[in-house]
Amino acid sequence: MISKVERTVEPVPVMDTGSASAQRLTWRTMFYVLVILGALVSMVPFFWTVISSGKAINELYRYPPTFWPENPQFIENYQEIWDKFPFDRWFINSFYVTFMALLGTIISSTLVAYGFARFRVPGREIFFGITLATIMLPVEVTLIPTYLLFKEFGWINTFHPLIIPAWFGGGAFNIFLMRQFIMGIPYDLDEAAKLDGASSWRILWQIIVPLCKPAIATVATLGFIAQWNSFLYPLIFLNSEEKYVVAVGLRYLQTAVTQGSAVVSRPQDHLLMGASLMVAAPCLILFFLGQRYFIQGIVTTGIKG
Amino acid sequence: MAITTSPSLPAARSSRVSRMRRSEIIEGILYLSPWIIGFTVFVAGPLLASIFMSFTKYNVLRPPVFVGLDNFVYAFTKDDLFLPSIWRTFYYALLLVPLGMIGSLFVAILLNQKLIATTIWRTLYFLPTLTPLVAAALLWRWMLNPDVGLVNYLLAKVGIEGPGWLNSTTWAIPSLVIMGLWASVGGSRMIIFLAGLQDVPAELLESAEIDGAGTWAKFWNVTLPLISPTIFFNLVLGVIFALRTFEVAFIATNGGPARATWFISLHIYQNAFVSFDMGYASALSWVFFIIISGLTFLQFKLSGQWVFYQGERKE
Amino acid sequence: MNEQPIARRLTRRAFLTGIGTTAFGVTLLAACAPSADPAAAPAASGGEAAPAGSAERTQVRAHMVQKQDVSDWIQMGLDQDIDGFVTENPDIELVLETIPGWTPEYIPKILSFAAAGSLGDLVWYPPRHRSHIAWGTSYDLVTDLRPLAEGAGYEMEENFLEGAITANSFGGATYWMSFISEPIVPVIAYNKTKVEEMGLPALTDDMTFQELADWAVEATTDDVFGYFPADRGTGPFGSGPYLRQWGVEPTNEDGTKATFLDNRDAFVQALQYDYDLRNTLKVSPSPAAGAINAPELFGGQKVLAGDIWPFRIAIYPNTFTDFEIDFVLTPVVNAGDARRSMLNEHVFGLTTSATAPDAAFKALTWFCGKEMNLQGLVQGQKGPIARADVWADERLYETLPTFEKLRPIMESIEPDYVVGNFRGVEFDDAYIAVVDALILGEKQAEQAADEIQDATQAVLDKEPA
Repeated sequence: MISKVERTVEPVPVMDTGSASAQRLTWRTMFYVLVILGALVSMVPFFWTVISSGKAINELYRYPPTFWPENPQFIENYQEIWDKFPFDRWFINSFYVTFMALLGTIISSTLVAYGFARFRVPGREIFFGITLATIMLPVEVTLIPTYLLFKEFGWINTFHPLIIPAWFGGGAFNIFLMRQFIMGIPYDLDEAAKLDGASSWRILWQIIVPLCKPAIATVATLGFIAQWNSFLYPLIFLNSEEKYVVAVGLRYLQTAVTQGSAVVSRPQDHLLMGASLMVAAPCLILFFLGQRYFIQGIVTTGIKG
Repeated sequence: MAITTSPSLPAARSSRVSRMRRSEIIEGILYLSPWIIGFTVFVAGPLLASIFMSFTKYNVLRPPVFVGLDNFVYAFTKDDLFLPSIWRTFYYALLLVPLGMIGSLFVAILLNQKLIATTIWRTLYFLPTLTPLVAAALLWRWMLNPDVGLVNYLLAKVGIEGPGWLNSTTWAIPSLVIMGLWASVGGSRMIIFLAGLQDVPAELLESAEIDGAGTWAKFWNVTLPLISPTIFFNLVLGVIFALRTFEVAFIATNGGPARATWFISLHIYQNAFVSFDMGYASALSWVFFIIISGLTFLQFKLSGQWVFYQGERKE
Repeated sequence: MNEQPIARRLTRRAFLTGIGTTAFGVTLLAACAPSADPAAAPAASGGEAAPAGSAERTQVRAHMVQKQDVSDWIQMGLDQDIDGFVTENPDIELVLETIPGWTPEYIPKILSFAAAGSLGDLVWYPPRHRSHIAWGTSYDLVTDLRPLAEGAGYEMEENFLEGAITANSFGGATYWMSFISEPIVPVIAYNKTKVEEMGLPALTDDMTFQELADWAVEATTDDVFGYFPADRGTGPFGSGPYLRQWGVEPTNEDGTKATFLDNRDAFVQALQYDYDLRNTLKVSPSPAAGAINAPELFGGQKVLAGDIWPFRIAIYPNTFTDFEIDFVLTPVVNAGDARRSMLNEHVFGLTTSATAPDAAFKALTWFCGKEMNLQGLVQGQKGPIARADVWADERLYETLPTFEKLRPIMESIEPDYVVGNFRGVEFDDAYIAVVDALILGEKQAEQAADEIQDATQAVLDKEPA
């Protein structure tokens, strides 16, 4: 089975680009100009945030904005953030919660998606509909009932509400995504394995999961980012500062931007920028390192023609 | 539907088939069991509670009072903000979803080509997703400001008088769409497309080429059908998320100017946590839920026409 | 595919075992979670039970937003032992349960505490004029402070200015105590350095609106706008004193009727003035939703002058160090007019579920006490309070001379207008929706006046929240 699955050496050419070499060069140039332009538009606000995090507050507001801080105080600003707020604690909490929830999400969403994609269980369409329905209802109106439920469990101010539900399904987004990918794998593979006497459990681990690696890597990366930045549930279910996660801790700095003129606070947007970057950094690193797993995916070569 | 079995088959085969069916059903339920348990324990209760709340007047702090259909009647007959907020939300989604889908697919194809330092490009395109929304909103407000902003300054240079952008009731939603596109075109939607493109077998494209298909024909006849499951996924969730948009309008415009970006999500939020009208907010949520789920159902019904699964199990 | 033999069939039993193991693993991991976290939250554990070892001490749990002028300052007050609160009350353990962010974070959190019956003893409330009364009356969340005050021999009237007590009372009960109470946007901050550079006359305390507009026309160039209503915003709350200055009152006494049109000509003039600033005279950038925040425009020197909240008096000069800032009082309609005002309140109340009301009341009076608030102002940490003794203390003016100008305003402060069905935010939003369109030049003043009247009356006609 495994031998049939080959790693691609090169990305799949979706659009070929002419034949004459001169024409090809023009295409290539235009192509790169396009890619660079898009990248510039995408990255400017992020780099503006980076630069702002090294400015003094009065310089942050200057117009026209300075391109590079006049008196760079990156170290001082980050030091101030670190000294003022227990970010070390929050980072540990975030890593713990994210890792534990992510593990559950990957395992359970794979199992459930396999169930949805391959087993003709009566009412599965209704079940699947209900799964999707859970992300259609505005969260505001289930928030307090959910709080009361977790309070019954004695889970308030623990990490359980953030972790345990992830082990039971992993969320509609992930189930749906995994289902789509599993349904994209030819069923002939399962049939053939079945003829050889393989159980469904074995088919899952030896056929489906290896072929779904890009999907699993996608779920893992996007799931990490979503869990890491998840704000409302940690805010509501955690009470003490030592239990907060970074996404909640970030709000400690997010004051001047809030709507409403009556908000009282000393402007500290330069610290907000710095803290935001610190919080975004693990996601950035993970994405940078993890992308080759979902981007250099697997091609189901030779299976279906 | 899944419930149908095959009663017309000869008895002997039928018993064997039904035994296989039974074991398939049992195994299927076992695989679905984490979700079934999770849904029953964690989700069903709060969901039912919010259905109940929608028939009550309930401010959280006092016991709910049953009012029958009053909340629903009020929404459609007396609440001047409700229906306009729904149209507004649809207008936003109608602009954002198609442009976002095309944009993300385009970027995914672009980044799926042979490029120098692919990793870096892909990370750069993904950066908006990681840029903190507050920072992005702050910058966008500067850039789109009609009085001192960069965009209108540049437009003026080429002789165009720029609109009021976020400071205009006409342009506020298109401005949010621009911000939304910037934030999402290279984001998770693009990543999912990219993952889908990986599953397009190279030899299918090669054999299409041998058959004399051009670039466009290959894309249209081979690539597109093969990634249709991911297109479908992005479309369904794109519509749901666009209709539920909250944060960008809350942070960048707070529903204004003059309610121009007062989306249904803001209306529900306002009723739930500003006016403490949890019963009414629940009713609005369920009305809105029926609209979204109807749309999603329709998409699933239509998906048979254009979504192609290599591994689909027809009944 | 057929070349490779598929290994032994996995039985359903094995499958079940797999599921079982997973479930067990989950349970195990879940059980490990709290112990894996070294900081097992000592005090603020949702009020389930008092932690061991504090048996003799009475715990007072106070919910508040995490803010420089609220929780940060109270913490500093504890650290500095202002008024000897810590040393004199060894039996009270004050726990500050802070919630980061602002009302979007704070309100859902308080509601979930209340719904679960685990609310603490003291609770902060943001400046949402008069809706806060509903927390005492129809929600039964905070209690009448009068009986407690009587028991403790605490005279409300001796401590707070009358306006502040009126604002927090309803039907003979007083539900809240002022923590920050200040006149609404009473001053204009202006960029003194740039005004002098440009050779413009300095702004004065006795300007009329017309004079300010004339000055702004002179001050406006291609680079910079002359004047900006800034913190006054587009709502009736920030613009309360402005409207009153024109002789317009938003509501009647019990808050059942919108009264904008009782003085229609004046109201139209007030709206026209704001319309003209941006559309006719073009001396103002847009303050409508989606605009750049006021501090950014002022700090970026894109506007020379703007209306501000009192708390910015201490903060602006420390933030915008590129130029010198001066403050003058906001204008009047005709020279010599009496100055009208309105009160902004951030308050603390005592919950009906408080387990230690007497200790909580002690903490409450300390939060809102004289020295605590004087020091908060002088140390540049918090906004003013409606206490006569604070405003009578010379130490205040030594540090913040501008407050001398606010003193007469504070002493004759008029309370906020009343929104009788407690839908204060909805009332404001209905007003803002029309004024936004007016300021953007999409509506005329006459039409806007009528629409505001209708839209706000529609809110007042709704049943109480």
